[in-house]
Amino acid sequence: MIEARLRAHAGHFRLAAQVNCSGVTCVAGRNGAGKTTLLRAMAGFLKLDEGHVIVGGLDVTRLPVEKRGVVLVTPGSAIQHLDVDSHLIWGRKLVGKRIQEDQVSKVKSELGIDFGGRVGKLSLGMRERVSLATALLAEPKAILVDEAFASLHDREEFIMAYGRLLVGARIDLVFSSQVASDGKLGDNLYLIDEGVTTRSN
Amino acid sequence: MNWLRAVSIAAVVLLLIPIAVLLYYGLGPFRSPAGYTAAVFRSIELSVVASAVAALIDFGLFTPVAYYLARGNDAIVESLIDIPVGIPHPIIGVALLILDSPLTPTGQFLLFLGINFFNTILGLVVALVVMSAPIYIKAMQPFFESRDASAEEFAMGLGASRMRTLVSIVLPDSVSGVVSASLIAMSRALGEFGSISIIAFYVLQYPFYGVSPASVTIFQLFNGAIPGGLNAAVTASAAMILVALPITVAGHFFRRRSR
Repeated sequence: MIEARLRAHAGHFRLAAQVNCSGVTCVAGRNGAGKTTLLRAMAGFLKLDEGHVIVGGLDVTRLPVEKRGVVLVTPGSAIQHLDVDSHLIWGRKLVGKRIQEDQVSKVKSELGIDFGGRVGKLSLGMRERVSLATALLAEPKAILVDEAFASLHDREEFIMAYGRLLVGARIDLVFSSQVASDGKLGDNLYLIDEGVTTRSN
Repeated sequence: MNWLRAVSIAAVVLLLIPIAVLLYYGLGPFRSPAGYTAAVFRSIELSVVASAVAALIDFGLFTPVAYYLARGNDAIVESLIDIPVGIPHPIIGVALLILDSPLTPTGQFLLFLGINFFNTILGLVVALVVMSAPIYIKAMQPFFESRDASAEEFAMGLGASRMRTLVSIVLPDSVSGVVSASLIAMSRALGEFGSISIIAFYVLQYPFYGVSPASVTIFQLFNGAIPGGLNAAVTASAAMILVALPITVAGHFFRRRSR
């Protein structure tokens, strides 16, 4: 469960958000509505003017990004110089968790990672798959996905499969979308417009 | 006709005329065997080695600073870096001398530890680090700033500290930028005269016992250290330029590649 009640600003843009995300949550809004700003505020990249972010019952508002257990995945997240297999376990190794080969191969097959090689040489969609799988295998408390589903050819199926894997690992997922109809892919839907969130289901 | 281009080329030519003239006379009409003796090359060697070591130290010590400035927003540290650049260089030499003088407590302490700057390779390298580090930082910082931060933010979310992110995510991807900044810093160190003429007029350690840095040697020749020294100074200067030029050019080559 990731809960945020916050006010923040980025330049002239003002954000006033209130979200309770457990399971899979979609945040939908037009370009410039504040989706990225909200996710960045939740991940800890944006200083809050007021409010709090609570992750798994722990108030992380004052914690630095690396101590929150919240991973932000964007289309540019992939670590270019690694090869696919070392990328997938990079996050898990970092936090000192044991690497289970069967778990890695299960995630690879569920998420359509049937390729290898240097990550920087892959297509955007392939890099997105690798980043998302890496975040999942690291087992953080929550994964925030900003636009990183956008270049996947099997986008909807991928989100469903990813959501299933995350629920199994008890990781909350928040993803941004341009269209409210993506709400059907998750448990919760929030609409965001001019920096203000409203719950839609 | 592109006037901007024409004016730019003309201005740069003006900048380079003195060097071209020096190369012409040093290698041509004024050429003197006293300008390319073993002693002169030994002193160029000392300058190249000390500058390379200084550039390595710049890399180790100041890459984190450049990254910190690129990703943080620390106006104070950013302006502190400019201080050594804004001071006349001999003052840095005097400052290092005072820092490590037997007359001051700091110097007594450093000398007690066996750290001696005066006329040592260590002192030479320290002065070159002080003079080249700001250049290194200024070359590295925009390189880091132009990087997309997404992968770094991803790594931080996974639990990596800023320092870990620098080492594991940023540096493996920044080889050409680092090489370029180091070479630019090294060529800056090769050109240093003011500070090292005070702290390390010559050095007294193996394998450079009694050798002066190249800029100091040229200055001595110019001052008439030997009869006909002016010609020797011009020739030695030309030799020095021929050594320094490829380093500068390589630095810029790598900078272009890193973009």
